[in-house]
Amino acid sequence: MPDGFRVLGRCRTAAPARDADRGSVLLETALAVPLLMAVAVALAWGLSLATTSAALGDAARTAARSLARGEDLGEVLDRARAAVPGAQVVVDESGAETTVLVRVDVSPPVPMLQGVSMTLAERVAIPREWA
Amino acid sequence: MSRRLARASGDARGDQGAAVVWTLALIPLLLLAFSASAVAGALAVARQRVATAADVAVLAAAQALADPCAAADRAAHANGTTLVACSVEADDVTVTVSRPAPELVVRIAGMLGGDPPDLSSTARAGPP
Repeated sequence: MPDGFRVLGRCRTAAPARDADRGSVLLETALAVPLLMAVAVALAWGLSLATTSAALGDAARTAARSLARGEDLGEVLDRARAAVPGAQVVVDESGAETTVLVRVDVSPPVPMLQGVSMTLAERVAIPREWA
Repeated sequence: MSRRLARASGDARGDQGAAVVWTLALIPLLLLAFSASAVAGALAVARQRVATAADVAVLAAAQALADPCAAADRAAHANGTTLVACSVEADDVTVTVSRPAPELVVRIAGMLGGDPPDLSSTARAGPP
């Protein structure tokens, strides 16, 4: 925003008085563009959050069902981790159910906001009566 | 005001601020698009969770040694849903589980004066 204002100011003072208004719509649009870009990035990020959540849920369900079928824990963990890049898989078999938690940290797709991070997680519990 | 002044004084300032007006007009539209996509995403994720819960519950019921519906109920609760229907016919088990709509959806529906329905999912297990 400050950059845009500076450009606008310079144009006005530099141009002859009669033409002072020329291009001001264009410049004002140029100021609006960062706002529109921010909204577009936010929309895209929201979409990717939903997609990632769906992938996490899929991975957790598949892992839980595989474990209930008695498949090898190591292989199940590997497959779940491969399903979502960077995901952490936690299996808890202490209670009456086998619980699979798959989580991943995500950051906005903006270089300046890499410090901002948020954790998405999906959890599936499957009874172990028959396992 | 500036437009009228500009016409009266004969200089060419009539267009100043037009883009700002357009941008401001766009903001509600963008907010609408943003909340619509947030609601759609939250609903899709919640629906998947309910479907998974139904899936797990029906498997638990199908493989329970005694009282399939009690097993389905426990499995449904373990996955954050409640069992709303469970029937056993011969070798077939059918269960329906449900959970409230996501908080975001409830809140937005509340602002619009509505009440979103619970999300539910039905699953069946048995010989093909």
